[in-house]
Amino acid sequence: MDLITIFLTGLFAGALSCLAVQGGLLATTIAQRHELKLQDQTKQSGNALPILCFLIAKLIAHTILGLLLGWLGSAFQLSLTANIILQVAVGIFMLGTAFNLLQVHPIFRYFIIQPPRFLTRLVRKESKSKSVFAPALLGAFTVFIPCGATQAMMALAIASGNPLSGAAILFAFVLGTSPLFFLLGYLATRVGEGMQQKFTKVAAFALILLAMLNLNNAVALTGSKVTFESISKGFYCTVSYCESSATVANAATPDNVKIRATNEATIEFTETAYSPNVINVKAGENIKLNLVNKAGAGCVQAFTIPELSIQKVVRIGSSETINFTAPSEPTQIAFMCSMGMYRGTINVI
Amino acid sequence: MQTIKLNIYGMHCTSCAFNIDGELEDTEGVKESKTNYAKQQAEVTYDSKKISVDKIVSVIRKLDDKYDAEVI
Repeated sequence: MDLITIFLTGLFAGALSCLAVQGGLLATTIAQRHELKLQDQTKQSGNALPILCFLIAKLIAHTILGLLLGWLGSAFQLSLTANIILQVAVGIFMLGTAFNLLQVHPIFRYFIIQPPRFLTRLVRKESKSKSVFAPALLGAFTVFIPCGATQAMMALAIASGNPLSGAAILFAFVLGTSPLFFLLGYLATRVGEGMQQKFTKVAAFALILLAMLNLNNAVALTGSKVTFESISKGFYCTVSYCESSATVANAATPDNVKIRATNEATIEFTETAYSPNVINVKAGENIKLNLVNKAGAGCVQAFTIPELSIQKVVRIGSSETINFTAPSEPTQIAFMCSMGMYRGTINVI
Repeated sequence: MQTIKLNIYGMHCTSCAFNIDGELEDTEGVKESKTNYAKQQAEVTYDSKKISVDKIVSVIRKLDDKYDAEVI
């Protein structure tokens, strides 16, 4: 996932879902400001300053968090199983948050992280000091109540395996969430109850969508071929003509002479893909794969073949080689990044 | 010092719990307030010579029209 995509995720899904969870803290910031204004009528500054302090502190806190998570990811590579568990956990968490927003059942309240008490006390104490430090502290505080989308980005930061990439991922994401936070914070007094309820619904559905993507990635990581993409593709190819499926079907046929199978192939890593993402190899032979990472900074770096239990981390700008024996029967093997986001297929012919 | 448990109604996020605790602990006679969003309950430790249970409940109600509280 490149930084622009991450920024856009923040701008839309992130802002909506995070505002639903963290908006209360922003509201507290503004409420305190109003109290101060009532006490001191001569000062007529707007809401902008405390909201900006809130947002800047939030951005800095999350960037540091990204740095730490990236460092954590570099210290030890998460195993494939750990990655699957992480993805499923994040997916379930997002669903729980969404169901809580939609008030499906009281049990989903337990999915909402309540900040530790010593921190809430500290914020309360600071907010009485009437400084800009209070909104800033509240902003930084949002680190402790990550919303669903933030958790997915945190997982991405760990998977990046690099402190700077981790920091960049969370920076881009939180920066993306900022405009809507600012706008709604600024207009807070004018946003009525009805608007807020509609808003909560949109946020909940955005979260459900993100959760589905996460769970889908987790399913892909197990090496299963039954993902949303394959189901929808299968459906599309059934009702309509589908050239790629024909090619794939042919590829699995040993008699097919049109497709050249090799026992050595090179896969280049771009920022958001493996190229080529389909390779054909000979059944039963020793296969050599040259992995060249040209521009992949995120999870693309961790090249994974779940079925063969192969995972090789190729850092940006470097190359690695993996060797394996292809199955003796024609089949298709999926390969992907450690998050199951970028995928490709090895056709064993 | 006495401790009571209250059911709180109308909390929609953890910030509500944060605000209720803050407001109660700022009230004369209340020593500690622990509000749990998930359980929708608050545990309040107070000095019965300085504040009554009714007053505690009214502090919560005054904070927001949506809030209500009752002693368990």
